[in-house]
Amino acid sequence: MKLIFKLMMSAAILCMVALGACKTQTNIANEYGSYGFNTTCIGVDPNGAQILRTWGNGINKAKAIEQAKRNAVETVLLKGIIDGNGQCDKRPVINEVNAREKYEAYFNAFFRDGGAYNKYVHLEESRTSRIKSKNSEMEAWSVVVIVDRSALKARMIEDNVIPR
Amino acid sequence: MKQTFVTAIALMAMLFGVTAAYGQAKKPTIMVVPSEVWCHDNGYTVTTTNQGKTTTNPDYERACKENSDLLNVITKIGVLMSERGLPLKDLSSTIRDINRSNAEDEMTVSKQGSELDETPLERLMNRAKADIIVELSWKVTQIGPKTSVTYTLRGLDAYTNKQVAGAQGTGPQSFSAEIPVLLEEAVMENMDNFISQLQAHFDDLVENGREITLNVRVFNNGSGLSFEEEYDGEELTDIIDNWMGNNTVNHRYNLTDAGETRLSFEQVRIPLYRPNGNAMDTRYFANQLRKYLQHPPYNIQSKIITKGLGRVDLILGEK
Repeated sequence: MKLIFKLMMSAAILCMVALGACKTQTNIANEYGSYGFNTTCIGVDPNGAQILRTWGNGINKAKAIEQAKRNAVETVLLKGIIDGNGQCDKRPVINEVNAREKYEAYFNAFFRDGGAYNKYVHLEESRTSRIKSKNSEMEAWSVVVIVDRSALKARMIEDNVIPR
Repeated sequence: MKQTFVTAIALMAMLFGVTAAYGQAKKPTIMVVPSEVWCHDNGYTVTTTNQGKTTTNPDYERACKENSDLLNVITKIGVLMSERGLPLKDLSSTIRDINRSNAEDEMTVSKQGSELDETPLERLMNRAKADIIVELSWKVTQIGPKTSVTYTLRGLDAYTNKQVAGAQGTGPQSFSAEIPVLLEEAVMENMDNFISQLQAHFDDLVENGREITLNVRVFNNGSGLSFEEEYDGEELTDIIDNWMGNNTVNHRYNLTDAGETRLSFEQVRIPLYRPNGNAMDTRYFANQLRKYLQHPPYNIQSKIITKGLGRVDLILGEK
């Protein structure tokens, strides 16, 4: 009896460690490997940073997670965060119509691999899990990220994309 | 030991909480109103004569005051919608708001003439600023001791009046005589499908902007202004067309009628927000075009007349 109890407790502790360190991974059906999901709001940090679950697709895990981070920044900047629990800012940082197209050269440079967007987003995985779907062509990964909206806005003002 | 167990449960709960947040999305604001057919069948109409033309419109105020079934039914549909997370605007309180500012409205009408005439539904939409109007009609059928109800629900985009969702059916025969109960029994089966149609339409609005209609016309004041007038070798029609292309979401609009004195733009997708982050509306959008035409080299004065939430006329030539 005592042994069973000890085993159960060990299992519970292992679970907790796994959740704490997170990196737990949920696999979903492989047909979603090429499918695009919306970025959703999970919460807002006291400093105004937006905590988001975001999705990306790529030929491998690294590319997909990079794409997911890029999608999160693009959502905050240009689309607004509509989905999720409603705590995040629904309005995009840039409200100018067709802004992605008007400032095409700027945003192409901003969002290129290793571009400036990377400074404003980082993975938050201490308490959350990753979601994965993989098919023969693509992998889709979902991760939780924190996007620094205030810093992004300051950058857009500095670069004259939005008025002061 | 106990503490460890509690911590484990708390962590699990946190994880579930995070997961539950994924599926939620911004919901459209809804207002439930009786359909014109129902108002007509039940005698809740008002007939007005404007410049010799007689029109019959629903009398929502009298319907709300005199028909307790209507109140019950609207409340029931409202409850079913709010249970599914849709925020509601109340018909009765909107009518009270309109009455409160009735005198102000009358002044506006007399100042700007018949062009400002709005139907009661347009007035409701203007006041409530709901995203979607749900029109409801129902008919009770009595067969012996049993009663059944046949209903029609139509979701209309408040800006365009287009039907964006629909549900129709007849409930099972029941011994209950309470209409809200009968209606709930009848509606339940189709409610989720109806709401998912509403949500799909609203998601499209968020993605591609609201849809409005913009008519640009020329005042016949002898100034000789027409849409064929050229500025730097380009006709006014093309200048306005280009402006529309640059200022609509994903350049989505249709120029359906282009004449010497009239341009009609339909399915114009305007952004949800102004550049400063405030909510965009039809008037603000038209005002941007008005300001554009006011500046050199055009120097054209114009007047904006809004009609309901989603229609606006810009009349060029004078204020």
